[in-house]
Amino acid sequence: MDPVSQLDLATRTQVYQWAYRLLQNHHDALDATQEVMLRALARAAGGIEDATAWLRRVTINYCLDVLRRRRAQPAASAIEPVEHRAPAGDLAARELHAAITAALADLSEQQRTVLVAKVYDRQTFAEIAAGLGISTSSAKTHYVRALHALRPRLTAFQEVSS
Amino acid sequence: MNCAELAELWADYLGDELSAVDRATVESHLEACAACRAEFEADRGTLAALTRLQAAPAALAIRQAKRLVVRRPPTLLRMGWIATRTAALLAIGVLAGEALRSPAPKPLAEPQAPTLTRPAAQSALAMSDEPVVHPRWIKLARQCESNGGSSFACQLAVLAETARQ
Repeated sequence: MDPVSQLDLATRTQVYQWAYRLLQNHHDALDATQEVMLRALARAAGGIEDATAWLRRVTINYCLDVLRRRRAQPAASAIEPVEHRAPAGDLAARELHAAITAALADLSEQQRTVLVAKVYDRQTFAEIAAGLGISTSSAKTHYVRALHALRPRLTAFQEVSS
Repeated sequence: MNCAELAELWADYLGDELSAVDRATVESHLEACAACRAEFEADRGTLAALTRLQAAPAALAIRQAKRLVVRRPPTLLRMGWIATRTAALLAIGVLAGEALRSPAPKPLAEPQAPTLTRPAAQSALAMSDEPVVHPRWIKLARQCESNGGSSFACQLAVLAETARQ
């Protein structure tokens, strides 16, 4: 395998996972990954200080923009074949997806980026802060504020804990 | 521990970054304080809802990512490619060096070198192993050639275009 492609596979896979989490659609996730990788390569010549943080931010923003456009044109939405849908391909799962992505879109970019990095990538606050060029304390504040902002939007989807 | 002290550790507790000792102290307070316990249950519920947004199966994600590839150039271009490969790898290293925090996914067995064939439709791609070429690759390659571009992005775009021909 070409050495460039081999090195890049991990990056592409990570970007794809971010995209899939937000889009819950394999076709759209592949398109989004292409787009983000193109942007990354175009940017690489100029240097990217923290590639992971940059890629995450660009992927999230691109995917949320896709979803915003999709909501504006519901008839043109890609309909995923049953076997390619998100594992919970029922109405409740789609409603949850819509609620989460709409709520994420309403967060500030830093709150959104910190939340995604913490919840889905399981980075530490120190790692997140380093990637964003902010203090660890700020990263923690963004995280808590993001959770509190999401709380009223996701109350209906909270499962009763035992 | 009082409520104000817990507030300072709130993010660390929710983010699972407390030491075992501190975590035990927090949990003792939560057992005793109904207000803090209610706050914790609310935030935990939000986190639980968020984690229900699932990732793609790891093997499938790798398979999809492998479709976005660039073929090694034909022999005539290989000398030039070798000369610039070090710079190219360094540039890619900026992107990929810190890309994964979780263990790197195990790549699927690749029986042959990936190739760019005909460009696939950008939308509504079938779930297959068909390589994918973005139309912007082609446009970028043409711009690079006309400008005599030598940046890394131009190199890859030219290679992608060459492999298609």
